[in-house]
Amino acid sequence: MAYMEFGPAARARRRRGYVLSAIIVFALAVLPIVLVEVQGRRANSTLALLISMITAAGLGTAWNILGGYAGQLSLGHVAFYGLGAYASGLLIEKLGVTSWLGLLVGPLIGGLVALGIGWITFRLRGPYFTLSTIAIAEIIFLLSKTLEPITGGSSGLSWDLNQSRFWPRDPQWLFGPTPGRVPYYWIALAITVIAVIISWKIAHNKLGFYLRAIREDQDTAATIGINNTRMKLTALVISAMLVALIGAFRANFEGAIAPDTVLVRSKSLEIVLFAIIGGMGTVWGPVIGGVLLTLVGEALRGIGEANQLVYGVLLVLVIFFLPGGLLGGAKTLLARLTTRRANQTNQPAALREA
Amino acid sequence: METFIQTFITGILTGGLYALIGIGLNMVFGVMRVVNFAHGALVMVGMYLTWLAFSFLGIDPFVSLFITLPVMFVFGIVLQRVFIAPLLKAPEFNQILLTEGLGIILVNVALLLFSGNYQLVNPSGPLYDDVLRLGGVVLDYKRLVAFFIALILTGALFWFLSRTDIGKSMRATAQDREAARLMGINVRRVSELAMGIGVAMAGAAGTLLTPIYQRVEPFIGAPFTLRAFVVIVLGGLGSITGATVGGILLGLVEAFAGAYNPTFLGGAGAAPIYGFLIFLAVLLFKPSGLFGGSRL
Amino acid sequence: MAFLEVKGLVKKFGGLTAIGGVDLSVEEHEIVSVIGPNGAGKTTIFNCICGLFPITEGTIIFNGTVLTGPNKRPLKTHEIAKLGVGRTFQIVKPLKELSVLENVMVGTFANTDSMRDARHEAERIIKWIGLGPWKDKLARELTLSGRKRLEVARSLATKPRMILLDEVMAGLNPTEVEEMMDLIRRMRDEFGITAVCGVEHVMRVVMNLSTRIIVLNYGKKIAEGTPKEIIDNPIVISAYLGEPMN
Repeated sequence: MAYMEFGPAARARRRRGYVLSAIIVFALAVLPIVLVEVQGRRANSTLALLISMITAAGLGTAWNILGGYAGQLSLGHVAFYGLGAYASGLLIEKLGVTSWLGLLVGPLIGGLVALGIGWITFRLRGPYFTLSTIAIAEIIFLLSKTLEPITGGSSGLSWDLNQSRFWPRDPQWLFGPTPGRVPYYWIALAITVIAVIISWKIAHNKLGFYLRAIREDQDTAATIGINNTRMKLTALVISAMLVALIGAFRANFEGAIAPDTVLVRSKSLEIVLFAIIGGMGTVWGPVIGGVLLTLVGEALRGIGEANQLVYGVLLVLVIFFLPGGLLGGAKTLLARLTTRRANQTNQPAALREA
Repeated sequence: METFIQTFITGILTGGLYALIGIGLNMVFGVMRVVNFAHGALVMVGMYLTWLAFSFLGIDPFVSLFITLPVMFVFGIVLQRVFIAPLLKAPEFNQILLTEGLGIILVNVALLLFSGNYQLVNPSGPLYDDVLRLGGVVLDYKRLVAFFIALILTGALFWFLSRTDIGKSMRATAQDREAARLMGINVRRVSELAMGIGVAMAGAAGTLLTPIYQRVEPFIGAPFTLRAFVVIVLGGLGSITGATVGGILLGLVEAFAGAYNPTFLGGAGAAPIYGFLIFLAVLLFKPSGLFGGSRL
Repeated sequence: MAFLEVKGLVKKFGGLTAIGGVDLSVEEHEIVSVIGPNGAGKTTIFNCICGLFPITEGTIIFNGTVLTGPNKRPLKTHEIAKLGVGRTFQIVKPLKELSVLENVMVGTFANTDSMRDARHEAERIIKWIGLGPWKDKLARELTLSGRKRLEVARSLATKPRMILLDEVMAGLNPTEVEEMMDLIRRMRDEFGITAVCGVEHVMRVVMNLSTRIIVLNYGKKIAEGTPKEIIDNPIVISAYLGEPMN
């Protein structure tokens, strides 16, 4: 089954998809209110988990733009996450400005740094590119620890929004009197929805086609007139800005950041896993992967250290048996079951188009 | 002045061990073009083997090399057969992720088996306790011994690759896999052998490092993976001489960065940064390594 | 000046000289075959022309623009493609996980940003080249002949002025070879596309299709001329053909 489908049948299917997506988003938006009604005070911890799931979906989606669509394996994406987080933290700690401004500043910084990183690393292919992303992320991580006067060193920064000289101090400002974590949930949801929409738009337009060509074979892509470096940079910058945005949000949510939570190497891998286990190169795969893995992580929390081991095993299993992730596997299964029927409906449509 | 010489020699001694790790990676990457992100974890495995031999069998770390080498060699072949061989034709992307996953598994198994606490390896004896004094310079004997053993292993490998038939087959396979196969070389067996040697080298480096670090914990291998790649990139892929020089260079850079603490980057903790910066610089300006050589 | 002008091309890989000083020129609307045994340097020259290999010495000029030469920054592959140089590869490289239509669309996007235009143009080309029935099939499901045609279609989609066809007939049966030859003629007649074919031994192409032949051996040009001249050329015969053709 091809990646995209054309023709009236496909268009109708896509319209149904839009409607379904809108319904889901609406349901998700209403969910926290329901939860608060049902669970009362305990809703906060459920909401915290849901927020984690949503941001995970966003992170996976963002990484996927570079990793899944363009096929450039970055194992250092946590750098952008941390940059976004520190943008928020530094704004309030050093400048006394609300950390929410980090949602604007973070992506800007992330984008600029991405341009710099891309310029350095996109001359490199394959493993050397990946190694560079690791090296750069490690450099930023170490600097965050050693540049103590600026970054607060290993203990990081923590703050109280009341420190901010300028509003908004907390999301209640935007949403009116809503309990506890609900506004954060809505902001997280909005961010992830934006990320998914961007991802979808890329996949269904020229950039997506070009990125996929680059993923297949960069030399061939060049002979068809594709400017590899520019395309890869575009994907990286978009990806970095989204990740930084989420990092900035998380910092606001936690009110505290430290190198070991926002710049640590294992988070890079986590982000990669969201996309890969869910289904790299697809729009919804990373969403599914992010959501599922967060749940798994939560379930395993009681077992303590085994967390990472499960990630490692999952990674190996997926690479061996299900390189297309869960979504890829599901699609293959579906395709095998419905191939004949799909062919028959497509044929007349195609002839009519031609 | 004495600090300078002290730093210089320490850098070389450590560098020799980095070289050994890099050479191990060279075998895997060079012969099979597999990007082994589990290499640091394999060094850790070597260190744990050494600790086990020391704690439960009372064997001296340097002596336990006779255990580590064969065990890791076999382990390497097992890894190759079970995990790597099936993925030789897969996109590089997948190989990187697979080895990364293996590395994580190794580290976490160690975590589960031995807990995250440091395990002490503190052998006593003149070799481990005494120091050599030359003027104002103080050198641990154990570092010197480790360095020379590393040198011997490197030399042995060099001889193996240039003088023996199997060694030459390995080099042929590294140059052109298809051509080697057409010439009748059993590429599968050569790959297994290369993996075995590569892993054995990593394990040996772990063994040699154990008495120097004196403590073993599951995450101790983490910095070595990237260092191994830095060594290869510095020295050029496929070159043992290059890896040796690259390793020593890296050792020197880290030693000087650590000793002279440029404060603008925040002090001693920033030392590894220099290694990474040099890594990036070499990748940018001379990707085939300081010694030229094979493809990028 | 010819449409494609290659002067004094030298390409070395380390100590190995793959191309040791080659001059060749192609006029617009010609169909030129570059022939020679395996390893003669055909693919290397093509790679040099389209910018995949940096050259050691020499100048390459296409349609008046210097692609690479002394004192000039060599143009990058995608820039050369945009100038109108198309390329197919000896080992076909379709974008395997994309459909035939999507493969060609990647090509048509070179001249438009719009999804709709890219798709319509791609469908037009697919129909023209005869791959219509396979439009929605994944590229990897095609036979070799289909893939070769897909490569040509994808290149055609970028609206090139000249296409470098590297061994585009290799591995095809006689009927398929005829079809491909026909395709190349039609590309010239209907779209004015100049074709440079790298051929090792499909003599039908060499004799019936080409207006001119250039013979390479060991990285050097050893003969050049019309098909008739080449058959009778003793140097070519001894170096390559083995015995006179009938």
